[in-house]
Amino acid sequence: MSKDHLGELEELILLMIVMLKDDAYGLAIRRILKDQTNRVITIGAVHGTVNRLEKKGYIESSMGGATDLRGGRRKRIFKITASGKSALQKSRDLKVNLWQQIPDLSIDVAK
Amino acid sequence: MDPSKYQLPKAVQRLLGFFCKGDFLEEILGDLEEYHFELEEYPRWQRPFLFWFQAINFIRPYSIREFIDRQRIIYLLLLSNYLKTSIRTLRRNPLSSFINVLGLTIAIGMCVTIYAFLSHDFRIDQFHENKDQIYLTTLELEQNGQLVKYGHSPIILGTTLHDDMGEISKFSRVSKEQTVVKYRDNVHYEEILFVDGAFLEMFSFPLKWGVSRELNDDSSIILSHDMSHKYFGYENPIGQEIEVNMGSEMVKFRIAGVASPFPISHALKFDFLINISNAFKYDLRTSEWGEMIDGTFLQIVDPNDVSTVLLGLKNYITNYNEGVSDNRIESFGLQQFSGLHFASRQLKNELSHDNYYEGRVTLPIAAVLILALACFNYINIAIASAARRLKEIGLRKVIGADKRLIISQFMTEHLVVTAFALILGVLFSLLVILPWFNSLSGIKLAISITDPLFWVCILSVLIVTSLISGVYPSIYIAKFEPDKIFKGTLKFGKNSLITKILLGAQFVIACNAIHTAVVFTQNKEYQNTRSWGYNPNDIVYIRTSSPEEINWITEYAKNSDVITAFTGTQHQLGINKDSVMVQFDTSSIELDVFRLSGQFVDMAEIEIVNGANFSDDSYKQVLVNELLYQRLGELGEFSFSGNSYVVVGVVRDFHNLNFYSAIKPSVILNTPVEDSRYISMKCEEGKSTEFFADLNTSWLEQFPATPFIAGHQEDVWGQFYDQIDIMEEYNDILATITVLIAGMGLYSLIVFNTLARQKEFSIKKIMGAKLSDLAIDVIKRYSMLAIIAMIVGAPMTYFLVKKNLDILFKYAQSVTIGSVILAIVILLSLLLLVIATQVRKISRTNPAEGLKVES
Repeated sequence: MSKDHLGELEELILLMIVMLKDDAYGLAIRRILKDQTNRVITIGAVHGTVNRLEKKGYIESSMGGATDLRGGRRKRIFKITASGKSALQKSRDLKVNLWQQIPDLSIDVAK
Repeated sequence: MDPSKYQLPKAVQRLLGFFCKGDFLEEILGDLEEYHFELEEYPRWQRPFLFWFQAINFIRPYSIREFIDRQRIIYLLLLSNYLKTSIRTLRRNPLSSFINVLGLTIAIGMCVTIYAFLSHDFRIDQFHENKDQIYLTTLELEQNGQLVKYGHSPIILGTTLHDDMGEISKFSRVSKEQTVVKYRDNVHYEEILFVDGAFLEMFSFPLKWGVSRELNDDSSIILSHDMSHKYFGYENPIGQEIEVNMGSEMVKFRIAGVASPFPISHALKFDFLINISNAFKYDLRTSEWGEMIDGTFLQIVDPNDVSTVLLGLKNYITNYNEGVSDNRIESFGLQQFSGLHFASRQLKNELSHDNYYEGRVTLPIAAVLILALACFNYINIAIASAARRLKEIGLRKVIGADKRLIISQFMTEHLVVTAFALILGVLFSLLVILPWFNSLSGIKLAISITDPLFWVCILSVLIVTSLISGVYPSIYIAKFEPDKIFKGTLKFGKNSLITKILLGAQFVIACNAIHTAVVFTQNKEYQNTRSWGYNPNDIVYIRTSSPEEINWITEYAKNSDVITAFTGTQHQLGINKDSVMVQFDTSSIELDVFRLSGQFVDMAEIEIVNGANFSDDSYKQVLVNELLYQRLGELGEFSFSGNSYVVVGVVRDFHNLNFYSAIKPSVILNTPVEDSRYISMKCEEGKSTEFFADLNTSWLEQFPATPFIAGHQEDVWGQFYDQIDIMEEYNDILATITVLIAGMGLYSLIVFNTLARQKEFSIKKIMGAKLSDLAIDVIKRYSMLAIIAMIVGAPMTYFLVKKNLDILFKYAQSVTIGSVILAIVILLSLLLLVIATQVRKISRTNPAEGLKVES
């Protein structure tokens, strides 16, 4: 697996981080993932994935935003990096390109 | 829910804190706490599962911290290095290692044994499932101005209570009877327990064979495992018939069940169980308030009902007191069965017993003292031997070991010694002490390796002894400053106060142990020579149960040429008697009543100090002992139990029971011939054994269906002397161990101290000091200490040993100053012996050698 390869869950979570803007932390990502895609994964899995993404350099993190609800503990807020954006772009382009090569597939599937 | 109030469970925090990297922890825990509030949309019961599922899911490869970081590796290496040096040090100092390990081994072995004893003691009768619901009814009598509790009860109390009070779900009366049991050629006197049908439902005595319900049938009998084995071997006896003597006839009972072997820790037990209705059926018992049985057990399911039952019991006091002529009671009570064993010291009853009181009190003290001795040895030796390791410590410190590391080095060393001793100690206990203890006490003590409590105790012994004996020397040694060590200016505490105090304590403990052994040896002599108050020698007695037997034995005795005297009695001295309560002025006292005969008084040489022996056969005459005479003041009229008698003589106080028990005010009555149950025969001197053997053979030929119950009068409390021998052996061994450990500690301490002063002694020798001067020099160091220890120890041991004897004996060797002095002399000579070996060593070494030694 090449270093800039983006896994399916990684891609989804990267998108969610973009959607959440300034409030992208572990539990929020899990929540929005559930709302948007109906996929339920454990918080541990979310942390595992963002950890991988950070290692690949697609996101960066900072600590902040302690609330009572967290017993005064800070969150790790994630932000997409330039290389993260380009990776997303690349992934979308790749898929669009592929889809364009098989224009009839959707009709076949519908049948 | 107020979010600020919620706290994550401690367990989660600890779990994740242990596994996860520190920098992840904050966000992970924060997320978890937030998640907790999200969970409120789920059903309550699901929440903990979901929560924990999430929590455990955090433990993933990315989040797990590195458990073995570099510093830790170094630390582990260091520890293994300590282990290596520990073993080297142990091997380099075989003497002190040996003393330390041996001392701790013995001490731990004792602790393990005492653990086995106590766990047996505390488990007695605790295996009954209903132990907390079952209550024994008790009654309180006024005796000598004190209320005394008894466990026996009127035979109809159980049925009456059960009929009247709904709170009592089940009840069982229990009555022990001695009677003859016969199966084919096997005829023995046995103890039968008459009980109600509910007995086996209330108590957890599972049956190996048969059905416990059949106890309700009055023709059924249930055997214990041992009795089944005794009569039927290994075969299943269910359905067989066994004959039991019910007063006047032999009655056949069908064996309906055999109990599984009882757990070792039991007090309540049975050999044979039959339904109590048989007691009425065969006229052994009547249904009256005055008719007493050994106990009535009630099962009260709801603990709140106990007070109701207690209150209800008050209504029957009048019923009872109207039914009896004397022995009026003050109150009824209840004793929970689970606590009956421990209550039995105060609660006189036939069903449970507390024989372990002395053991419970003295054994833990002995264990703690021996453990303390071993620990003191360790501390003293560790400090004294530190002198030889100064350079090692200095070097370690210079290379960079801090105090903590030095302490952990010495603690490791110590832990190795203790752990080693622990293993040996457990083995020592299992292989040596426990078998010895079991053979002495007759209890089958065992340690179950699967018992978690045992391991908890073992580990706590390991930790406690390690801490007590290891911490002080380690800290002491770690304090040394390297520059002073190398300069040689270290003031090394040869006379440290702690060492002195510990040594003193050892003297005191050893003094106590020796004194105990001395007194118990003296006491054994005393008990063996103490007079019973009569002469039991050459008297053979035999139990009879029918006129034919009496006639036969009378003929037999007449024809024998070794019999010099012959008499029939209802009681046999030392075997049975009656007890009655007699009112004297304001208080009532318990009286022992012996139904003997005038010939027996002559035969047994019971000395008449005032008045004369029985002079007629009216059975209105009595003899009293001196104790009772002191109360009466004069010969003449005396009435008790509703009969009036004439006191014709006073006999010297004699022992009925052994010397554990006090002599009570006693009365001797004459027995009518037809009431004779025992025949006593005086043989010519030294002929009794032979006569007894002949009698036995003839009896078995004549009465094959009746057991031969006979014996020598000297043997009626034969076990008592065995017990005294056991006690002496036990105390001797304990004293030997104590003195051995203390002596070893002292020895090694003196060895180290003389070694440390080798140069000094060598110089003194060269300068012309005489050997005696050197000896005095060594003795001086210890004389003050010994004197102070004796001043503390002597009164203490005097008091303790006296207390110990008082607990055990009513008539015992008095503890004298002489025995204390003897103990001290023994101890001091041991001390001198140890010093002498060292002085001898000094005298033998060439002073030049001593000066060459690098200390």
